[in-house]
Amino acid sequence: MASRKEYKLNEPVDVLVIGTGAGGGNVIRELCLNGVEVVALEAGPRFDPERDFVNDELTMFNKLSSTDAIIPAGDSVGAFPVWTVKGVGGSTVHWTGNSLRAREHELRARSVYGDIDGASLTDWPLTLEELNPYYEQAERYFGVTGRVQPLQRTNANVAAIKPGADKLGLNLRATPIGVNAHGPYDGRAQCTQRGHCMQGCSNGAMWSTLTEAIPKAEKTGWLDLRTGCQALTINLDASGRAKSVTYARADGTTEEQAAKMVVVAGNSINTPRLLLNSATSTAPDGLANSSGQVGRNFMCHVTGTSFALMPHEVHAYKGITTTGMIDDFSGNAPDQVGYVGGFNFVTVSMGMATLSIFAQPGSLISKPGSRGNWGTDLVHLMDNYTHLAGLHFVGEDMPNPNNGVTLHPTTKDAFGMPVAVLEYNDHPNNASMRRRGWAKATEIFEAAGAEEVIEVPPFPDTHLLGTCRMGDDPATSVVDGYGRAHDVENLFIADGSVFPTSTAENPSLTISALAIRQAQHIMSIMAGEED
Amino acid sequence: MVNDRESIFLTFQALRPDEAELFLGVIETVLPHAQPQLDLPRIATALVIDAQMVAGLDLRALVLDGLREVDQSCRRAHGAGFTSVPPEQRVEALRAVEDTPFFQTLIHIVKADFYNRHIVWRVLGYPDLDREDGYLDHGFDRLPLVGAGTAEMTGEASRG
Ligand SMILES: Cc1cc2nc3c(=O)[nH]c(=O)nc-3n(C[C@H](O)[C@H](O)[C@H](O)COP(=O)(O)OP(=O)(O)OC[C@H]3O[C@@H](n4cnc5c(N)ncnc54)[C@H](O)[C@@H]3O)c2cc1C
Ligand code: SF4
Repeated sequence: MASRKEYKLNEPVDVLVIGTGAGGGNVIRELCLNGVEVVALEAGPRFDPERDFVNDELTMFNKLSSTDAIIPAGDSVGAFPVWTVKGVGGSTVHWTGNSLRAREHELRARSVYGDIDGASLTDWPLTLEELNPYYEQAERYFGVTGRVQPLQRTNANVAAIKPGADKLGLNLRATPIGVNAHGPYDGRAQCTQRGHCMQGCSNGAMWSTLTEAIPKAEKTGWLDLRTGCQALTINLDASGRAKSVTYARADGTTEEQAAKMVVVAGNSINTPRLLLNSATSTAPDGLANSSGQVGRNFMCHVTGTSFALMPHEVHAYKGITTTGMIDDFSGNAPDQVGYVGGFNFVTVSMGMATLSIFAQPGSLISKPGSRGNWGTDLVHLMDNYTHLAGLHFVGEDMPNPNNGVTLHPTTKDAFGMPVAVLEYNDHPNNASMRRRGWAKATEIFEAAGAEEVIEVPPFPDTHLLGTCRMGDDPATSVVDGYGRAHDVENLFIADGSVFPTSTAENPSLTISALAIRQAQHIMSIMAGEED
Repeated sequence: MVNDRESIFLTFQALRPDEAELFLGVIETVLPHAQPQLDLPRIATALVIDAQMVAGLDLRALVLDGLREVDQSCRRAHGAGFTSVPPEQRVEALRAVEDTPFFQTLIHIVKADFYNRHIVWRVLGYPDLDREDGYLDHGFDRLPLVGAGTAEMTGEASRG
């Protein structure tokens, strides 16, 4: 590895990137591979997968998960509303690798779905055709199965569900996944099918920016990665361009790094939080917010899970956590199903501690009034752990301008930064889709011979989308199709917050494709090829 | 089975022995697994939470207030404290406090600790430690054969 680069605070670095997750990591890699100087600020620490990742759910949850305060509001936000990682690699550190491209109709949600009451639907400012080359690049980095590597052999969970899917004529098959299922790939080891993907993959078989993008960027010698550094404000010069970022170190001291360009990729909660906290007299409602859209249209996918008690042993925990999919319900058929958009099923398993809590979450993590299970109900479930099969659905969430992130007027974090308030109210379209998701899971399980099916409510949000939507019109969007802020020409946003609608697909491949595309755009601006 | 319950209660530090007895009684009602091998991990979980309460005074106050309420409701309804009433009446007493922060907090931390223990995994059939090397060569991709021993697949057969 090249020695760690250290740029001077007062000498403007080419690009300063905030956050090293799916969005930030991809931008950092692309820029550094092309000789661009990058300072990356990461609020969390850097984990060493081999040393720090153990196969223990609780330890890993406590080690990896961000516990930064978020104040819940609205009818559908739980007490522990989002599940993210604060550390190098962001939430790619414990994602489950599902890597699907968005569908053509989803990128034209407003045109295809029409005007849905209470939903601020819009079309994406780019087409699938424009995105495809960048999807291909992202897939090569991830090593996506079925695209770059052969599809993986699926696990016993899939084998238990398959007879039911077959009977119903549904196509349950291996899902494209960013995992080295067959052997080492791109310097990362082969998957041992150990499970525990949501606790962090200790041998790097599952792609993450922690194990792929950041090490590659570091090798170039162009990256100055500063961990434990939380961006507090993005500062403008007199002409309205971003000139620097003020950040806090873990010990509470602050520093200001000058930069020629700034890329924000803190996720859909922290990016709007940072922009809103960067308000000045010239941008009193927050940076890049002349549209008033910063913080609005938070989406998180319509999700639900079902576990089936099978008459035989399954041992669903063996192998990659989410390895099979059914996409027969992903189309848009409102006349037949009563809602717009679609959902995909993915097979899922959980470790024992997580299952005992999330099978029926209580008010400590879920909405007020929720009751965790205990007693004979709990024991019945857990005694049958080896006989459980699981399906999880992920569907398109309707954007709602009133769902989103604001700054709490008085509560601040340890660095004096206002805490985010997250408001989310479920749309009736989501409720119909969720009902159908659970109903279809039950049909599949019953056709597979299940003795009993347990419906599990949504987990804390893992797919955080929207809050800085992209679009062509500066009056209604925060950034353009490249993620460039309409109001601040050298400010870019590279994370899930730019999604104008959620699509039904797991978002990280799309976030990565957009980030790669953005990095190339930034380089052409730097080269003077574009304004 | 641990027989000397009195010594167990004397092992608690944040809770007095009578409070510890009540506390363990509540945990046994929350986790009524019948397998005798799970008696010990239930006690271990109670002790872990007791240890958290030594310094965590808020948790201690929450738990003690909740335990007192549960015990008193049993005395009012049945003329005997929680630990002296039969299992159905214990369940009834806990149902009455089900929506309280005390009970929701308690079951959360009890489940998180108890179901994260190797002995519990082993008894319920999850072989975790036996397969640190992964299931690549240990049947990850197929269902156990019906009627066949599952030891090859899992290291431990069972339906709890
Ligand atoms: C359990 C789980 C399973 C998942 N499975 C899948 C899957 O199968 N497929 C899929 O596509 N997606 C999956 N996801 C979602 C995926 O992880 C996220 O969509 C993706 O990581 C989001 O990328 P991002 O760049 O928007 O944010 P993140 O990856 O969360 O990165 C944000 C980073 O910014 C840092 N940061 C925030 N604020 C600041 C600040 N002010 N200063 C400095 N740094 C800051 C954070 O610490 C973090 O490292 C899963 C998520 C979870 C939790
Ligand atoms: S199952 Fe494979 S991808 Fe998942 S954590 Fe284990 S080695 Fe990594």
